[in-house]
Amino acid sequence: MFDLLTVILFFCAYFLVLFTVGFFIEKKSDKEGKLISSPLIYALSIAIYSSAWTFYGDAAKMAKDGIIYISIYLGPCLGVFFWWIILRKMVRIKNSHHITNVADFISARYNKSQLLAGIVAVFCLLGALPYIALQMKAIISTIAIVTTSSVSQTEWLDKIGILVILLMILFTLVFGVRRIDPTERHPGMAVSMGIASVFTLLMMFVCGVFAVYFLNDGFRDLFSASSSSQYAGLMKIGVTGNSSFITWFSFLAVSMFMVILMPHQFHMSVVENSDENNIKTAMWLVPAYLLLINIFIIPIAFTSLIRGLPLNEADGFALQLPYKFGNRYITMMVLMGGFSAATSVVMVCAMAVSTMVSNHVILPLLGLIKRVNLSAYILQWRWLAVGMFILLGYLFGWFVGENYSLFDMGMISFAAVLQFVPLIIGGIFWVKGNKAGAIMGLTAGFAVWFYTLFIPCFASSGWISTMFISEGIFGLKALMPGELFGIKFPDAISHSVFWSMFFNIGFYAAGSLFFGVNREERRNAGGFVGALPDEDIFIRSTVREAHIVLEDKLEIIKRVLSRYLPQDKIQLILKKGVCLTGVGKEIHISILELARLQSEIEKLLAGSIGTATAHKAMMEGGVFTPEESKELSEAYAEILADLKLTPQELKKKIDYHQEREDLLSIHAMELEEKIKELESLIGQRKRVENALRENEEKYRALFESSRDAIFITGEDGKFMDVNESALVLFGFSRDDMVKMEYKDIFVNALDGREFERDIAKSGSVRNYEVILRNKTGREMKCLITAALRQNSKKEILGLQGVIRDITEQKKAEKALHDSYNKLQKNMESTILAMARIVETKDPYTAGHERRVAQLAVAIAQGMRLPEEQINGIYMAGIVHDIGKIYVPSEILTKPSKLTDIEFSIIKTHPQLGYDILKTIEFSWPVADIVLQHHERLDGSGYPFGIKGDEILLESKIVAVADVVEAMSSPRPYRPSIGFEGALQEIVENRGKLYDPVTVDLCLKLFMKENFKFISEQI
Amino acid sequence: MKKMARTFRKNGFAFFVFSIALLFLSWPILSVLDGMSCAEAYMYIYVVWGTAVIFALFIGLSVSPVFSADKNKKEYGDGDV
Repeated sequence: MFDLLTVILFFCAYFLVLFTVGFFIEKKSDKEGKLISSPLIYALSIAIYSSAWTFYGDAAKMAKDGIIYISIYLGPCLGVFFWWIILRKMVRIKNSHHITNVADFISARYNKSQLLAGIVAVFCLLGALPYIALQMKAIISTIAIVTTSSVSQTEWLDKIGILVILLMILFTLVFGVRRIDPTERHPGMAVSMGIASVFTLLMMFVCGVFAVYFLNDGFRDLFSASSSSQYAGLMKIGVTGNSSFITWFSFLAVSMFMVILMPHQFHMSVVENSDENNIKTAMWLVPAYLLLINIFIIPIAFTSLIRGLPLNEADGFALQLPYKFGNRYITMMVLMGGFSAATSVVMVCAMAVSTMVSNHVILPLLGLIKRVNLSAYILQWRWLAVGMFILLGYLFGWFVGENYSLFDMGMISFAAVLQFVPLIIGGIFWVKGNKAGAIMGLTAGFAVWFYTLFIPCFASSGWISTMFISEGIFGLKALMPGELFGIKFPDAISHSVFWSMFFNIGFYAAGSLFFGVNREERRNAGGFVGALPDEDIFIRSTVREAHIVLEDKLEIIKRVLSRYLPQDKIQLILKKGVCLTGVGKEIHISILELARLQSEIEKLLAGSIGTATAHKAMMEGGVFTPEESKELSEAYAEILADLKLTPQELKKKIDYHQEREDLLSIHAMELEEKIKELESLIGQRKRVENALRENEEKYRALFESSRDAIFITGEDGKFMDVNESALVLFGFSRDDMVKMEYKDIFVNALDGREFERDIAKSGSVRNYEVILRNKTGREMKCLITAALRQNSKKEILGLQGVIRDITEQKKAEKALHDSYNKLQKNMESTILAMARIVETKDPYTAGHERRVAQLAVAIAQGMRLPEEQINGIYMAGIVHDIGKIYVPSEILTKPSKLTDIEFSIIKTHPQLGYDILKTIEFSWPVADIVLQHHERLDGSGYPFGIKGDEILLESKIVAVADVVEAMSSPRPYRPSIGFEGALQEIVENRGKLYDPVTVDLCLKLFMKENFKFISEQI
Repeated sequence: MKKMARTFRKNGFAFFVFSIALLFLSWPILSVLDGMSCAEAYMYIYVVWGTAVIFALFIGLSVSPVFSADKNKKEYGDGDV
């Protein structure tokens, strides 16, 4: 009827529409949350429970085994009555624990066990394989029905199979595994699934209407034909029917949970739930949808049977009817319906299972490989998991699909996922359920399922020996997979369900009780079991009939209030009281609501007139009639009875809670005080921080703006910080400097070590002169002032210091020194020139001043006087007789004894010399030395006759030198008396005329050191 | 309506409906299908099913909002009158 390409194009077009819708919804999900959080969409997305199993498999099951198929839809419809408790609890737990799949849920409950999560993920994978296989089989076989080819059936099926696998993988990856979402919610996908459910339902209706009204003359005609046919027993169950009640109940019980626990169903009903209130809508809409989609299953089955379609092709009845009876359009619509039903489930299931496998199996295993971080490729691992899951599903169908109907394959999956029920239900209602029990129960139940259903699939299909099915493992009849312990069941599913649940629940309970729960497990369990507070559960509580007319009571209260308050305030109080009580829109209220209203108004009134007065006013106001008071007492008694408390016990509890409240108030006040203290501390700290920051800024400004180089080093001697001047001085960049040690800038490494030693010894150095070098190698004389940096424990952290380049300064100093020396020499030359002037007047004194200067210097050196003083003595010696320049030459050179007048003129020469010399700024007191060089210790000298310590030391030295030299030299008026005579003179007058120390040194010079005058040209 | 809603919200009502539905869909009752024609059996199943759906609808409508904006909405501000 159709070629393959047309079919594929239709499939792709359908997928494109779904994807586009989903894509745009997700793009707008932030702005337009209404559609995503719509209860209608939520309920319809859960309805993907109706997969290709419903579309094709149910009619087949009906045709073969009768009405038993309907039990897997009635089960969910019975289960919805507990969704408000169970499903809502699961949604709350999902929100609080950030759960994204079944494995997460179970693991989170049982001590966050990664092992358990891994086990659940693996079991989900295995358990869901038959479910995926049936979808793939449905798609492949229906494509095969509508397409024609000359290629053999098997080859064609294989080719279609590969194509279908690739399409399914592609659709799943594009739809649900495009990115990693921490919540694993896909709002767009939920909307698309809702739309797919509606499409599936419509296509089923098309098929059903065709069967009932086109191939028959309506329901009456069809059922009448059925009742009179050999197929009438299909509508019965039990002895006269094709299925037993045990099977009926097994299927009911299993399907009750599968609608929310199959991996794709869990995802849609729990993970994708954005609002708990949506559950209320799903509670009736899902059963309604299931009812509608099943309306035409029985008619389709009967029509197919009556029309003679072969029973071995029953899985395709829904498609065969329009195909065989020549309606292309309906055939395509039914094909698309089945495709829609199958792909929805495959995509969501593959996405959910791949998430579980990647998170709980692949990633933990990759975590063991330390060297390579393969965990970063989560998305890619998930894609791989999707591909493998779909491929495995196809392979399962390829291996066993021939021998199993769609319905039977689906039930194998249901029986597998059923193993999670005890863990989940026990986990949310039983605090004592623990990890050990969960692992034991799950493993035992799954092992039974595996042994009784999964392996027999392969045996029935001929892949493994059927010996163990007929003889039992190891030949033990009691362990026959279809008849464990010799107990027969009407079908394999019921048998597996019974024994797997028996072992599962048994081991779970026994293991939990045996191993017990520790405190952490109990706390964790408490969070799950107590996820719904009691008052939220609608199955409870005292409710009273609302028979009291609100308006009447408000009038009474108004009268009470009017005694104390003006009208406008009364209106406000009434409105507020009514609002707080939540009875604003009521005409009638209950007694409890009236009590609450009075209490609220009393509190509001107390704000104006005081608590006691307000209470008294309301009590005396007559708000309650005697009957109403009695009713209120009864209501409170009921509440107490509910609470199982006597009034005294209630009072005790109230007092206890009051006391607690008081304590809490005190604590609150103390906390408030503490907070204020802390705020004050914080304020202080902030101020300190601000001050520190300001100081830091000042320091930084100082640091950077200093003209001297400032440095800080670490323990290793490397520069930690330097200022701009240091960078300029040394020519390095900051990055280079922080890699250098401070010793690297020393020209001489020895100097560096010495510096280190000195600073380590004394802790600091000041103006430490060193030669440093810069980046270009230029040497610089620098002064370092530095100190060790220490912490509070006196541990050395490094150095900090200042470096000043004194190279230029040194150069200037040297120039100054040189200039000074030159000046000094000039002065000396001048002085000597002046001395020569005197000598030209008195030839006898030629050389006298020079020799006196030599002797005076020698005596001064013997006294170890400072060099500067010695220089002064030398200068004074050279010019001590310069005053004689004013003495007439005749007197100076007179060969005979001088007269008194002549001597008195001679005696003026010290003063005259002083007058000449005082105008010259010597560095020494040359003028004063010259003035006093003829003074004597006893005051007998001249010009002033000063004595003792009044005479300058330098003058005393020059005086002795002058006497010795003069007496040992010839004069015009006498010959030389020689050094012995001169020394005799000073010895005789030692201490009387001449300074004793000076005399002794002079004697020592001549007697011991053999002093001789050096003859020099001036 | 409120009275009915309270009824549906009452303790055990959901369990009651579940039990009745289970009874009508289980062995004691289903054995009546033996004596019924196909059409009658079909009608029986779907009537029971439909009735259960209707009760589920009533229960769903009767439950108070869990996080209702109206419940917490304050029409008037706090503070002294």
